[in-house]
Amino acid sequence: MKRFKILSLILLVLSAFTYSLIAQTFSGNQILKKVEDTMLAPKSTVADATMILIDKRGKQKVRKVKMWTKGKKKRVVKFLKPADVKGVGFLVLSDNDMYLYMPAFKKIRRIASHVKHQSFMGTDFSYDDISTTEYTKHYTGKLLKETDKEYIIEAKRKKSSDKEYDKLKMWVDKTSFLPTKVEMYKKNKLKKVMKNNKIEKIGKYWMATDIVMTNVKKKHKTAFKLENLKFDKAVSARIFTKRYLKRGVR
Amino acid sequence: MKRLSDFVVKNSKVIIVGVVVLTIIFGFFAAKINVNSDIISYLPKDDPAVKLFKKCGKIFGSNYLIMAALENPEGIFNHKTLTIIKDITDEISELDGVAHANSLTKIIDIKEIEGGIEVSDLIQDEIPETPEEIKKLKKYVLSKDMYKGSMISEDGTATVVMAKISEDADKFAVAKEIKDIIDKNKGDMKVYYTGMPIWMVFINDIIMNDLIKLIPFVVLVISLILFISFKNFKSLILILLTVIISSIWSIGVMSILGVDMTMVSDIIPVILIAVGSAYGIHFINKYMEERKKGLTNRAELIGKSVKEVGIPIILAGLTTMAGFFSYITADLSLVKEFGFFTGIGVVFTLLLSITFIPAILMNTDIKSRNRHKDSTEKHISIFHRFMDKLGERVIKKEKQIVIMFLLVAVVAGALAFKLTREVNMEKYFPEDNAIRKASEYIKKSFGGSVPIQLYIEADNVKSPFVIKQMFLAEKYINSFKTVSNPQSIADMVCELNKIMNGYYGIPETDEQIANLWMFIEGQEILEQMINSDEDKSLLQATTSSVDTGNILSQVRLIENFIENKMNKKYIEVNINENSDKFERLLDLKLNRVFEMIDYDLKGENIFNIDLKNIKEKVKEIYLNTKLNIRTSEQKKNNIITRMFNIVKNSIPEQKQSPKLLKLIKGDLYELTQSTEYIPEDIAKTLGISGEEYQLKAEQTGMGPIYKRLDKNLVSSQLQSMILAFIIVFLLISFQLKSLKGGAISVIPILFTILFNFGLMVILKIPLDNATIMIGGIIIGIGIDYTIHFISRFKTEFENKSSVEISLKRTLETTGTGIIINALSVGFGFLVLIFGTLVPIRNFGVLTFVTMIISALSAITILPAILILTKAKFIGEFDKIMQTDMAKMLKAQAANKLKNFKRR
Repeated sequence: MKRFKILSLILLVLSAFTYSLIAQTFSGNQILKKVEDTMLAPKSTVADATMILIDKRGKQKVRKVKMWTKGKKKRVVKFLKPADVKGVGFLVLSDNDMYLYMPAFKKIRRIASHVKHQSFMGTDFSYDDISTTEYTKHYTGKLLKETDKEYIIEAKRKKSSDKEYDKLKMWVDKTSFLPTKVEMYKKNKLKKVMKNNKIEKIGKYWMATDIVMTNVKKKHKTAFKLENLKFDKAVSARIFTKRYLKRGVR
Repeated sequence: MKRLSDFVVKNSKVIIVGVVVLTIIFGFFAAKINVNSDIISYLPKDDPAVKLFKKCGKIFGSNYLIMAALENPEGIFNHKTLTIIKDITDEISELDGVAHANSLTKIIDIKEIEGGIEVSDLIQDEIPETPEEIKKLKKYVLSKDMYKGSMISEDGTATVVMAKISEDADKFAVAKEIKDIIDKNKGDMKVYYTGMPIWMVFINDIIMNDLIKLIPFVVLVISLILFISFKNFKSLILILLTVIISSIWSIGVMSILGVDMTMVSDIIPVILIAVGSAYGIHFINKYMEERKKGLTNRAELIGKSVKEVGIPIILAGLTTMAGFFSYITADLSLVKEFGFFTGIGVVFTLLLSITFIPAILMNTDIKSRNRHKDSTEKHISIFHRFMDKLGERVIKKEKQIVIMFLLVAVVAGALAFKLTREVNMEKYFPEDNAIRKASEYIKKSFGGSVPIQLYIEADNVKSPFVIKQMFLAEKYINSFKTVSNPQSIADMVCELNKIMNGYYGIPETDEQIANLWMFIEGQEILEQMINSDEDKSLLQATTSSVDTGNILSQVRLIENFIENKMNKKYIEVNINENSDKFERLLDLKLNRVFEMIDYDLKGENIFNIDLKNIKEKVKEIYLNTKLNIRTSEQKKNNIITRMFNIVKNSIPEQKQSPKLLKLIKGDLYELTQSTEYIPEDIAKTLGISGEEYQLKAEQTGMGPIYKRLDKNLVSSQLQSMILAFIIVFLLISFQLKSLKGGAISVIPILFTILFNFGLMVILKIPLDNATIMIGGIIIGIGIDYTIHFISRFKTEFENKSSVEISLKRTLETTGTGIIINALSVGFGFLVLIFGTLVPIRNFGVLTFVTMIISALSAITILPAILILTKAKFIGEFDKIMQTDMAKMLKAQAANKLKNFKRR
């Protein structure tokens, strides 16, 4: 028994040592890539989400949506609450192919592609923020600092990229390889802060399930909470069609 | 008085040191005085109009709008210019204290795209660079009603940057920062500024500049007058010193009490210097008179002077003070403060004249030089001859004089009812001033900058009922000729609905509006129109009117509209579900639709269209086609197009602007909706019940503020003048121990006041924050002339000489003094015509004229009335009159004889 204890202790020290060795070899770019991989790991997801819009005076507006994702691009968001927007649906097929369904008019309208930097339905997330997380395609990472629990990296926008923020600062959790915090800068000015207050492992995937996005200048916040997450096979491909967009949700 | 003079004689050095120390202390504070030209702060803080104005400022991010138009004669659509606009806008947005900044580079754009919709900033992150992109942008911007004429001039050579300053920010400081940012970035573009905060920046500068410019001027004028009358440098310096010291003291006290300098209080020093020198003159005159008589002991000289003139000086000071203090009752803080601190200043001058001057004289002597005596005498003899003639006239023609004055008074009094008022800050700048020119330029290209607002409260301001009511109100307000740039959530909904459903109107259901709203939710511009609880909303427009009368009549019209249309209970009905009342309900709907069309036409300056006839035709189509909710969209469009063509064809072709046609079509689409909101009283008579809807609308913006300023201007003027009259009347009645005496004494000032108002009407000078003071000044200073005249006349009378001789002597001595004093005070005031602001210039001219009128009436109408009424408080007229009559008859006979001989 004693021996086993010692052995395990040795193993533990060793593994910690190798872990730190491996870790130290990680470059900023590698970390970015790992973050991206973690985020894109599920082939598809479905979840119930609560969006709470909080203005600078602390007033809250609550919205409930059901959302589906598939691959890097495809997304569907359907509004459940409040009642007057129930059934409103948002479909993303690709960066340039977005649609909004309005049940009150029974009409589908295309949404222009270059509204990416605009607020998504009054939240502090832009259309871009909620679409994809292909960090390595748009940013070059640099490791600033490493602590016991996290890496702090700086991601600079590549010249070819049309992303809104020219610099990101990320605090990446070493266990999950998901950021606990992302600061978004434009011309060296902090514009938005995203915080992942809760990172949990659901099934085989790490997920951030309590996200708060703050618009620094407007002092406006959006809390985004995910529940009932299901992955992969649970999501049918026909959801990502205009026809399905028109269908009601429970 | 004896005790006072003893005290002064004994403690002369202490007094001098004390005054010096106090002046240093007060001077220190005076130098730190703040300037405030925010006209809203002049109203009481608990005034309902002010409270609502501030409340809306807090909820919707501010009412303090600055507009800067940047002009590039070659057009603003090029990369460089747009970059400048963007840099300026971005930099201003980042400022603390700026609630919202807007420009072409930041404005919301609701655009139709193929099969869809786009809501974004008009120009996103990158400014277009290639000529094609620039050309495309120009074409697009100039095609949008939302921008043309409000964000960009119709020819594309100028664009505006707008900034709203937060309610709780230091508006003056932020406005200055904004101006600095624009001036720094503008390159070689020309910038025109307008808007209240920017006017404040300019007025503040003007206040300080005028203070610095006008004081030396008035000092020079008064010195000249003093030098002519004294020919003595030392006494000149001494008198000037007292008025300058008292000016420093009163500004110092203001600063210590935390009272800001305003556009009228900056003339306090000028007034004190012009008015206050009289006290010192009196004292030094007496001192020199006694000295000439051979008295050399300084203590005795001072004792005698204080004893003899101390009381008259104090009395004159008290009445002047009463004239100014009467403004404490005013409902405008700047008037109140001006009255109070000028009154305090008068007290200081008074005190200094009977303490500081003798204290100095205790330590230094004044020698009168007699060299120039001859020429002075010559001047005086001219006056004497004039006064003698005047005396004769008054005695002979007292009735004619009274009648003449009465006539002038009646005419002036009648004219006074036509007196206009001016509370608009913009009009304070002279017409040739750069500010006014800039305002005119902006008005021409972009409409005005003075906000007109409607504040709305309802359970849910996003409901179709509320938005439709707002839309109607917006159309109504926009139908005024001077109103432009209306903005409300109704426009946003209409813009979206236009793209979604093809017409510029409000959809029928809550859900439809909520669905459309998804596109604009969170847009920054909405913060200026709706609060986050969605139970308060603001409809705003701007007026380009500078005329207070015009603004006030707009305020009244909007008030009536709110009362008759908005603040009423409405009942929701479905016109198709009440078959027996269908036609009546349809008429109500048609009435509302055509009311909207009527406003839209008026907004485009189109009148004289027979809408009644068109309405009948439209109704016919409606009934024939059985338009209802189940009609297919295609068919609905066809029916509305038929109706639309009827309206369109009645409008002259050259006036059929795309904007107007879009609005009218939108109005007609209302007919496709079967929901209608009808007033509760009508619903009752029709026996229809349904869900009740009500909103609460209140007018805010600058209109009600102007209205309040205007009302308070009038009430302040009346209250303070009545109060001043009562005080002065009581003071004099008490001194003369005769109520009749008091009543007669106020006649010259009453006349002068009427004359002043009449003159204002003739010269088209409005009553404003500065000219309102003239009444008090006339009473406060004019009464001194009466007091002097009566007391001298009484003394002469007591010597039992004839009326004529008494009068002539009074006129020769006191009369001359009165005229000289009026001229010197008047010229002192006249300096104000070199001021920059129009009210101050007007004030200068009017006080100059009224001082002279006031002096002239004291030496003409006053004796005429005294003689006519044989006022007992003067003496026994009858006794003297008899001998007088004999003399007069003799003189008349002699005259006739002379004339006879000439023939």
